[in-house]
Amino acid sequence: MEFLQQHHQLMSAPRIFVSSGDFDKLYPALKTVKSKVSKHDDLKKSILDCLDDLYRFALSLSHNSTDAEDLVSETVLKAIENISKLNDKTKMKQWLFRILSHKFIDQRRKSKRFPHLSLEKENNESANFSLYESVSHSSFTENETPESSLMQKFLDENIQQAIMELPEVFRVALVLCDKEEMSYQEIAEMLDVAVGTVRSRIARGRSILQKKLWQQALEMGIRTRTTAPSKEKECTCGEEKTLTSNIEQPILSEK
Amino acid sequence: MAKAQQHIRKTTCEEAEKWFNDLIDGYLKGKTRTELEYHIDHCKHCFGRVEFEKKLKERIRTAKVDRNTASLRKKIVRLLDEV
Repeated sequence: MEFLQQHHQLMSAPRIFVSSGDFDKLYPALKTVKSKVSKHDDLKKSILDCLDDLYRFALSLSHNSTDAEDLVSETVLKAIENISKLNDKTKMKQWLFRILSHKFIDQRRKSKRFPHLSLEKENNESANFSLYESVSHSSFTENETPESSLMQKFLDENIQQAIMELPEVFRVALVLCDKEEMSYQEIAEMLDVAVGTVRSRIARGRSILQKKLWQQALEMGIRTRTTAPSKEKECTCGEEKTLTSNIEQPILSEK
Repeated sequence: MAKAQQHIRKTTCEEAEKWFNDLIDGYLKGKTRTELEYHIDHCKHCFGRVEFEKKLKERIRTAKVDRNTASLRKKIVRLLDEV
């Protein structure tokens, strides 16, 4: 930036004696440059303070260290360009997350490198999918309940892969809520959407994520029972629910 | 206790399911929360599902991603110094 160059020139310039009149003229300019340098140092510090969180968030979204680093670098550049728009400096982290979220969504939508994940298709295919409903009626292991057994089988890689397969808007909302532990309100402010939209994106995101995990479970060799139990649940609500609607039709392939 | 429970409206599994996410994320309050908790206390299936969803949320939170930021930090410091 220009002021840094000015500061550098001033500091490296040969010392000369100036009259008190000249000094009075130079002093305000020097003070302004010093103040700008100090503000730049503050900005640098607050960006670096958020860097680990920012990178983790970028990596959760892109799952590729090169893409994540690029995303963070572009975010930082945009933040510097627009720093005057940030009124409350204590909200630097939320602001950086906001820039990164928008950059990520924009990039994915424009880029040919990444397949477009259709919201409509995912919505139709995974509406109200529950992994629990499916897995609790499967034959995963004889020693434990299928759901606890499945949870142990899932590796970090499986979870991350399922997150990666979510359409962008759901992925961002889910990662902000479940990984970054932000409130619905914070996410809504960050993404410029209503709290209701955040709630719905998180619900849809979880549903789709569970469907993806179920597909992975099937690939791991989990088998659905050929006959769905009719009265396994002990419920006092009086509702007879067959619990078959969410269950995949039996795929009996062993892996 | 039994007297207090008489005033709690019984909800069906279908009604309860709509509130699972809010319950797991800690947003459910008041009457709805009471009704949902009552349902979960009496419904083995919904109890199991909520517990499963909580575990899954925790599993997502703790799933590790590569966090080595040393090279990125250098890059960003350079970037900040250049601009």
